[in-house]
Amino acid sequence: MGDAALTPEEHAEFLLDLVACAAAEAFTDSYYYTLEKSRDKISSFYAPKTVGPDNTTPSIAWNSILYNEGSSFQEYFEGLTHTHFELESLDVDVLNPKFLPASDLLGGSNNDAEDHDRRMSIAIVVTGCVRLEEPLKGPMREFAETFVLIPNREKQLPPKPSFEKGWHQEWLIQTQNFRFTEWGATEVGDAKSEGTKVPTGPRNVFQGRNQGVAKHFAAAGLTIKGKGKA
Amino acid sequence: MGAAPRVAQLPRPQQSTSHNSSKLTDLRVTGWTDDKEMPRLIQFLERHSSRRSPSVSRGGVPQKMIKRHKVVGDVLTIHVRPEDVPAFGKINGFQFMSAHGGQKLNIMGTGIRSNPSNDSTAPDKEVSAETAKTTALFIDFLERRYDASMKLLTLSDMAADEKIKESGIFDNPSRQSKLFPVLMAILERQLKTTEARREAIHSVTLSNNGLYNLDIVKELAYTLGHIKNLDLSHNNITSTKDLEAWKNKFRGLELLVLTGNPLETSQPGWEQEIIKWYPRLRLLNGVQVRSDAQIARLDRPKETPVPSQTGAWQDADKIAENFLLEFFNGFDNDRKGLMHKYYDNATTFTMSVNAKARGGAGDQHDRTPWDSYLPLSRNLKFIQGKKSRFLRKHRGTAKIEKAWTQIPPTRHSGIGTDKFSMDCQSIQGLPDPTGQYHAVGGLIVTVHGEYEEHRTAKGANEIVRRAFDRTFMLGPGGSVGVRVVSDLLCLRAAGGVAAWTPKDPTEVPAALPVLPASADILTPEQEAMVVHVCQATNLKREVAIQCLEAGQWNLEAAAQLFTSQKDSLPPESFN
Repeated sequence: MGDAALTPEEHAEFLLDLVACAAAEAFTDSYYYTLEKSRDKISSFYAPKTVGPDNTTPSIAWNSILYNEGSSFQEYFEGLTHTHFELESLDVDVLNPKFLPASDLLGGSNNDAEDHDRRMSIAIVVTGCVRLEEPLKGPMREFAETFVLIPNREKQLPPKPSFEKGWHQEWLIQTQNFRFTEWGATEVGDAKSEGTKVPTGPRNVFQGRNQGVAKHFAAAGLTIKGKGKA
Repeated sequence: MGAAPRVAQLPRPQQSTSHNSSKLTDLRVTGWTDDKEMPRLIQFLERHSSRRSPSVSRGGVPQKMIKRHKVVGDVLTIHVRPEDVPAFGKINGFQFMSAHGGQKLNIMGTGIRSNPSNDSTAPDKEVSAETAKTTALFIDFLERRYDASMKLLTLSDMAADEKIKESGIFDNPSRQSKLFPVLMAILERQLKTTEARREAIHSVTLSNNGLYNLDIVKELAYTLGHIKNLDLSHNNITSTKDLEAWKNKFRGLELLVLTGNPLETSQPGWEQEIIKWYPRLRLLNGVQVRSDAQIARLDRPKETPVPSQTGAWQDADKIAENFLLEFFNGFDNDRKGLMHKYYDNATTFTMSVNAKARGGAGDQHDRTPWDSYLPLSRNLKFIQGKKSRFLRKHRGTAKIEKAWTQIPPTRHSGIGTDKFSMDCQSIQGLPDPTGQYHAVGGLIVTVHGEYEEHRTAKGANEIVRRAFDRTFMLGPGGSVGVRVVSDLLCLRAAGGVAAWTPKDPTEVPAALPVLPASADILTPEQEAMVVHVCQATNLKREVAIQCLEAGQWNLEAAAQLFTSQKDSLPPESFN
């Protein structure tokens, strides 16, 4: 990893990455809380529906069903049982630093080479687990989700936004894709005992033998750091 | 019900003004006979009440409970501090051992529970007669104000009610505050069960009562919490704070009227607040605030989403399909070639490892260590350093290639089968590498699945499997017309319970519509076709049905089948 000083170009990129990371953290905290606790506000996270020059509309794909607007997605989500999301991984990328034309930015300099930290669109990828039906006891599935966020044209942000006071819809969801990636263990409990889960290749010989703290280390993939372990 | 404790609390407001003996409360003690025993009686009262008084400090100089007393006839009047009244209430009915035997003492006065009518020294019988009178007044009031056909209880403009006015209840503010609780108590006595009240009363009007808040009417929510319509118009409510006693009460409220209250102008946005409090509120001041469908959704059983097999696939030109087939083949066999075909110097690649997936297979996840993946992982949940985060982001072919060489050899087998879940959506606003446009359209492709890895780290030589979620942003440009704008890879431990495949084989939905197997359940159209075929071919009915089934109930297909096979059919197939 090049530890050398960043070139000016890289430094500009670094500054954008700072904002993008802070936005991703603030956004996901707020969004998943809203899905769980205040579903009536879900639609406030979404950009108004737009039709592109090629006649396409950005969409919300949730569990393979397409919604064109935040309000229809909210309507669907309000009919769901308890959901509790916990994030296990989070990553973010700056998609288009000039997404919002310089002239459209409230309080901007109107210079195309500036204010990228307030004009950019960002892509957020998340994986995590979601508890369904009831707290603590319900089935827990794995999920993966991708968001594309675009600047909220109606918000005037200070340069270098920091989100220290939480998320206030500074960016809005343009496109989204949610997928359950694994069934909950309790949901496939029967299938498992019948041997449906066929492991391919040799299993980790430490499986089932790691208890206590060691178990958590192993689960976190940290055993490779322990030199004594072979 | 609600009235009794209120009485005991009444003297409270005086407390603050009368810490000195400037304002004492008079209590009347009866039940004793010999006034020669007065010193002993006073001592008795003093002893028992002081033990029960919160104002007597333990260990300090004892304060006298009875400040003054006088005897008129057989009534002993004692003057006590208002805060000591409850203590005397507690010793009401105690036995005083006089020389003439045990005597039950009766203490009366404001704040003594067993005797609510503070201006009467009359015996119990007269008191209950007055209670009966009040009860009758209220029952009459309720009857006059109840409209059975509308199931409406009109409690508006109560102060103007002639009979209530006559009774003098509104002359005294403390009695006025008791009016509503008593009214509700009597209502509960008349309609004993919640079901009875639910059946009889659907609507309540409380308009024109000059209400500043809900203090004197809040009991309504307990007694009639089920009502659907509530009118609070033309009162003096200035903010939603004044209504907070009823926040989240009346869970079935559908219609609420708050017109003619200062609230309407003094608190912009008050409607939003109110709508939140009542989940089934449909009409607020005559304006529809929720649709019937929205309310119906509240009551329908909540569902748990079932993972879907089908993908969202907006890929009219097969761009994503071709890309994916080529990508995973290239990633497994020729990463460098793949890179130079689809990646360029503006492309970004990041990878994050989810090393502690708790959901899904949970404990059953493969626990293969993450080896050389971890130094690449940009999982923001774990990598906190700003610089570290940035250094784990790779832009341009040179850096991406370097990162990819650290990923062990992979094999993604079964692309296009249900081992993988793939979605493709169109997206706007991707960057244009030529700089000509601000933004161009593209595709966002998400793929979930498992791959096999030949693991050689730490002396291992084994095939392990890993699960991945990968998002590609595809835009126009590059040497082949499609370029990767962004490639975001997430890795998880494999659990073998992919959610997009049905969890139980019996749940596999039939790929083709199930055709009726026997003649018993033919549709009328099919029946007509069978008759037609039998007439045209002279086939037996069963054979005709077989023939039509083989031709998917398409007459032409069945006819072709028949002509091609009629010579090989046994004679018994024909009539």
